[in-house]
This record gives sequence, structure tokens and C-alpha cells, in this order.
Amino acid sequence: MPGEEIFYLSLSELAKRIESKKLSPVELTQLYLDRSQKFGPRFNAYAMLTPEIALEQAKAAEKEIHRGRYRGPLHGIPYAAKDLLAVKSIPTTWGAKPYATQVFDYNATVIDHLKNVGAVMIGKASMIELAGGSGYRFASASLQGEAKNPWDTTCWTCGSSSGSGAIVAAGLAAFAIGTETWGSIICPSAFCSISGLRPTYGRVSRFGAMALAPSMDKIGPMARSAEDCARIFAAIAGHDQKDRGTIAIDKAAFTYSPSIELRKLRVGWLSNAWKSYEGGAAKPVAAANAFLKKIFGGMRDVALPIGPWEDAASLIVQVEAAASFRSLIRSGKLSELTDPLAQILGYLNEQYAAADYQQALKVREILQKKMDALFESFDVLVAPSQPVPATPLSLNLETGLAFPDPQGAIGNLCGLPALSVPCGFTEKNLPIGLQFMAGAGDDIAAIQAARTFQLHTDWHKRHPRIH
Amino acid sequence: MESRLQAVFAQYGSRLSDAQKSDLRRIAAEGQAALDRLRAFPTDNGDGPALYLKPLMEREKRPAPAKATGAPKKT
Repeated sequence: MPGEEIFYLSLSELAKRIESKKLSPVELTQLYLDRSQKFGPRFNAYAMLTPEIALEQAKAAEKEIHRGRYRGPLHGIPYAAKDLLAVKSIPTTWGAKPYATQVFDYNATVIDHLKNVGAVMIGKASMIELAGGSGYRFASASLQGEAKNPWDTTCWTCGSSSGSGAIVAAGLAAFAIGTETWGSIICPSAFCSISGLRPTYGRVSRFGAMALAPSMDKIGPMARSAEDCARIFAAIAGHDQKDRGTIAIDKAAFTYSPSIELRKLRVGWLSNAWKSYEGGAAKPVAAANAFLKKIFGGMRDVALPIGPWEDAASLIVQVEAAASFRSLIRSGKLSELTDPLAQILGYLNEQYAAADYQQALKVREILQKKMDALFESFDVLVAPSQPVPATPLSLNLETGLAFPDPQGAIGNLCGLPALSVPCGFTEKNLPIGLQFMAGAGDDIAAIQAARTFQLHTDWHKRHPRIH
Repeated sequence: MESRLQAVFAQYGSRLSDAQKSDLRRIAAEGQAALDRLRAFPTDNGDGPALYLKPLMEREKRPAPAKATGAPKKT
């Protein structure tokens, strides 16, 4: 029986062992399934496990590999998919009671891409109901209950990719797929001490994924390292005619090799990403800043442009969410949602004036030009992913996690890629994350910067003790 | 703000408890400052919105299937 460490091996390590036939995909899948069955409920990590699908895919992978047909670094690797990604013939609940028995007769494009590279789906990850599309006040805003942080189960994983964060942090799968409209990959990655990539808007097809705010929704990997994220991103990126929000074929696809030629990055530390740090975050942030200065010689302070970016982002999300969930709102079934805010906010979101939405879109265009100009001087902008560590499960998020977030607003309004990686811990052993954000389409810069940081640190190799 | 709330209550009021209506009133009031800031941000007539239609032109650009050779076309 392998030790605990196998559950925390990177994709590269697992792939090496699988390709050389030293590790069986079936054995690995069974190990992760057993661990997920045992520990998943402790963290409310899963909407459901899919052992039949997983073992079928694992056996197929093993057979192919034994025949010499190795598909690449994700072949035979178990993962979990956030439960807003359609998987044919099994429930896709969107984390919400009104959709508890919803079944699609097709796969999301991302699921098909992962299938094509031989990855093994072991389950659907729990999530915040409707990915927060009707707002939420508490961590318990989920059909599956509040996702508990494997580092401290009295704390939240953050959301809305809450289960995906728990799954990767607790070593229940090798990686997970999350989504982000505003914060939902970056925050759980920071709170759970894992690496999460929010790609450039339009590089990963959203076909088959629940829409929240179609002009802001993105799908991305949550894994053990920036390099793992890069490998997964390479598998799922690409133009898709079924999602007209995907960018052109020559710009959407992404390829990755660890020996890729590195360029000298111009790195800027965002001096105004957060107003203050709390919960013991200040010390690890200061240490990370000092360390970054050593490894990225020439790193200098830079400020985000000032403007009503968060106001614009909020309005766009609320208006588009009201449209996305129109039938739910009109049906009265908002009352079936778990969260008290989610039960009512959709009604208000329907009432914004079209002129205000158009104003938000104009502000967005102005901001894109400002950020384009900023990325003339910098390749990557760095700042802590969150100014606080994981929050208590009972916290009222409307008041307790409601600080200004210009970094998140700007990044998501402009569709910019960002990668959050672990960078330290508070005195209470709660993780702190660092975010590397790049210009639109320059995902490789964010990946390279994060990978460079991880080559010099071992925060990403630490994991909670689960027993 | 009041007109938005009245629209909500007119359409959905029967579904909402008094506590929920108060909650919505509070949320709308707290959100008004954000709306005011957004409206006050200077934009011009010529500022385009960051949302563009993608005309369905792909079909027109797809190459025609190969046909049997005949007389050369005039260009």
C-alpha cells in the first residue's frame, strides 16, 4: 500500500510513473476513489463520485498504455470536474436544489477534451449554488453544504469552486477543474494552498458549462503546481465553434513544454491591490514580496488604474446572471436555493437599466485600453491573491469578505489570465496565496512567473495532514 | 432606486416576506453608491462598449468543394 505521498505527487511525477508502467492507472484511480470516499464527506468536497466512469476510463487508459499508445501527461490521471460541467447521463446539479436531478445528454467540451487525452474523471466537485449567480451570504450556500478547508475544517475553502479547492488540497484527486467569473478559481486556490489558473477569457470553451455571466465566465485548472496547471490548460484550451465566445483558432490553443524558451519577465508588484491585510496575512505577504525581489531582479512597484471598475464588474455580473437564470427567477424557484441572499437577489438584478449596463461596458472598454498600456511596461503583475487567510465557516460573507478587490475586478473585466500559487502561512497555519496576472493572451507569462517562483520555493509541496 | 424596488415588489411581491423586502431595500440602498459612481464616470458617445457581435461569416469563408475542371474563369 503506497504511502500518503502518492496522493500529492505532481502530474509530471504521476505521468512519469504511468508512462513507464511503474504505476497502474487503475490502481491510482482506485486509490483516489477510496480516499475520496473516506475523506470527501468530511470536506463536503464532492457532489458525487463516479466510480463506474472512472474505472472504465482507467482500464481503457491502462490497456492503451500497455499497447504502447501513450496519449500524454494526463493519460490515466484522475481528476474531478466542478459540478456545472455537463457530463452525459449523470446529474449536473449546479450546486443548487432546483437542479438536483438535472441531466444533460452531452458532455461539456472541457470534459471531452480531458477524455481525449485519457484523463480519468472520478467525480463532480461540489460548488456554491449557481456559482454565486444569485449572490450568497454564507459558505453553506450549496446543495452539498459548506466546503470545509482541509487545512482547518472550521474554515471555508472559498468559492465558488469550493469543492475543487478541497479536493486538490486534500489529495483526493490529482487535479480539478474550476471556473471563475470573479474570484472563483483564485480565491479557493489561495485559501486551500493550491495552484489555480484563470486563463484568458475565451481560451477555454464554455460549451456545456453553466453560464453565469457569459462575458466573464472562464474555466481553468486547479492543481499542485503552475506546471501542472500549464499541462492541463494545454489539454483544454482551444477554439470551439460551439462556444462563440472562444477566441480565434490561432490564438486560443495553448501548448506547453517544460523546456519552453523562457523570456526575461518584467514584473511589477501591485502596490494598491489591497487596502490592508488581516488575519495574520501581512507577515507572509511581506516575506513573499522580499523573496520576489530576489528572484525577479528589477521588480518594481506599480499601481492599478483608479476607476469604478468594481462597480462596472458587479453590474455586468448581476445583469448577465439575471439573464442566465431568468427562468429560475421567474418560476419562483429562487426560494428553493439554500442561501437567504440567493433567494432574493435575482429579483433585484433583473431591474437594472439597459443604459447602466451599456455604461458598464463602455467603462470596461476604457479599462481594457488602460491595462493594455500597463502591459506595455510589464509582463506580469503580482500581488497577494487575497488579503486574508481562509475565513471561518460561519462568517457573513456580505460583510466579512466584502473588501475592495480592484485586482479581481480588473482581471475579470478585461479577461486577463492569472495564476494563484501558495506563498506561505499565517501563524495559525492558514495558507496565503500569491497571484501572477498577465496581459490578455499572455497566459504563458503568468505560468512562467509562477513556475519560477515555485522553482525557488516549496510552499506548493506542503499539504495538510489528513487522517 | 425606489422605482427598481417598486418594480420588484409589483412583479414578485407576493413571493417575498416582509423580512426579504427589507433585505432587498437595504441591498438596493447600499448598491446605489456604486451605481452613482458608474453613472458619473465620464464616457463619450464614441466610446464603444466592450461587447461585439460576431457576425456569422464563417460559412461564407469556408472553401467551396472542388468541382470538375471546365473553361478557365475570367478574373
